[in-house]
Amino acid sequence: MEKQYRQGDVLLERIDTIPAKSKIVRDKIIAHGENSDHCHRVTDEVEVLEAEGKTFLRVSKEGKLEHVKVSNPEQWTGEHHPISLPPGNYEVIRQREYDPYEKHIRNVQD
Amino acid sequence: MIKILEELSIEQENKMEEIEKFWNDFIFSCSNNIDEQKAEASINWLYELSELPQPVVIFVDSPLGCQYAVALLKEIFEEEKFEQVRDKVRAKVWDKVRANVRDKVWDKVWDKVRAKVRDKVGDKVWDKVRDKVRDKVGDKVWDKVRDKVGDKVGAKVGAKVGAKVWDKVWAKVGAKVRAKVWAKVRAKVWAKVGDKVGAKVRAKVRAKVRDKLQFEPFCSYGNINDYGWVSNFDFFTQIGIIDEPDFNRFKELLITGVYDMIQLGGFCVVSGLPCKINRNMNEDLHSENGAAIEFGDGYKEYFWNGVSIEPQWIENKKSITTVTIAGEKNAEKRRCIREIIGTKRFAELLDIIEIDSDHVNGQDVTLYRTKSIDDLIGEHIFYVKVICHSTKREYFLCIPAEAATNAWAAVAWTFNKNKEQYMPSIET
Repeated sequence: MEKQYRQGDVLLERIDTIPAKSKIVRDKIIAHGENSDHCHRVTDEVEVLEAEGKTFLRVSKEGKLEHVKVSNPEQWTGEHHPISLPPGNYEVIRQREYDPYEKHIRNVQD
Repeated sequence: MIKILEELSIEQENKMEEIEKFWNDFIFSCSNNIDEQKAEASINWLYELSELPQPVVIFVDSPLGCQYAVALLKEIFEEEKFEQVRDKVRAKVWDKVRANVRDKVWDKVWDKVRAKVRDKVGDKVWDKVRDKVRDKVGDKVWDKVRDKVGDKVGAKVGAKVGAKVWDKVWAKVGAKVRAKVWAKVRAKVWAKVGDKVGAKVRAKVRAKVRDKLQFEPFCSYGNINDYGWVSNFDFFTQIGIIDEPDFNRFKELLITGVYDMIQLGGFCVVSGLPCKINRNMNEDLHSENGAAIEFGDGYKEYFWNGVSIEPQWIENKKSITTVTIAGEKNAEKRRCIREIIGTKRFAELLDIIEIDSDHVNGQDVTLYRTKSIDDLIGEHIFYVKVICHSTKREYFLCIPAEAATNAWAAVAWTFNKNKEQYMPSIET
């Protein structure tokens, strides 16, 4: 089983390859808090890519996943300690929940 | 010549604590009413510093009041060209505006808030706008305002003012004096005031006004968010390292009791400080019995451990029903509901029983099912309770029936994995 790292409602899973048609995105924030000033962010050593509605990370040197404030990305929120990421490829998986009335699956909002 | 400070004496260390306390108490004591005369003088200085004409300064009691005041100004000057307004000011336009235009503005405001603050905010804003403009029409202020206002009274100069102020103040005080006590004073004050109050209230006002009126951005400099960096340089000033007149003037502006302001060409709309703030042990906005923050005109907001919540959840806990919980899409807010009414009542409302529990990776997880079949969808509903590794907060997440084979499988489903696939090696 590939190695997994979890920070709150974000799960990173090691994968062998990132889809070839993935495009690099500039934003290093991989998940925003809908009701807070918090976000999950990767450091500059990590490339964020997107393809087919999924988000991937390419870690060339050692990277880091941090939980910081959107208004001040250098400031830790005090929740969820940073996680060091060994070099490699990762898929970002957001935690989800089910709406039984709308028969719909959505990402967890916090 | 700037003296280089290599280390702090005991007295200076104590001074840091004193300054931190001063700035925090200044807002959190809720005892500092705005000194309008001094604030106006400081704002005039601020505009002058930024090479802008002196504005007409309008004082209101809350950041929401600032938005209403700007809407009123826009309404007045968009309906009547500037020159025409001047003529009508001298006749009966004010009566017309008071009777008709104000109502037009208020009609755009949603009913709930309007009912609560209309009389208090509306009349105050109106009276002050009228008096200020009436007093100054015909004199040099009018001419200055006209140049900047043109056809669009709402022309914004917030960014221009902010950037200029910042550049000038920053250049004067010098970046190199900041490092020594940055973390000890600035960061502490900023964390308490800027992040925990300022940003949250701004976000709420923005959300309330967004679809009803055109939201006017608040200023970049000249509000409580400046407490952080100002407290930092306040320390250096008080121990005699710097004595910069422009910085001292800027500090004076803040301690006149300004909470926030909207800086426009020709007008500056200013809110006073809150009259009530409640916080929890972690210093997040929080109140179990009422609003967590309230301003003089009655504008208030409710927070539960820093999370913005609906007023009725606190004011009338019995209003929380199964529909409230099922209809709340935000997991953090659902957690607040559970904490407000207690786990027992929360479980009663959801009508759930425990069907499995597990303990993996140091985490307790519990699977629940509704006791009876749901009337609307004709089947049971399943929830998994997870506990955050970091905060120890509990969350109830709904899962589909096919994922409810056991508690761990239910958690795995929330990450699109099955039980065998889900095994994080590190969790924070």
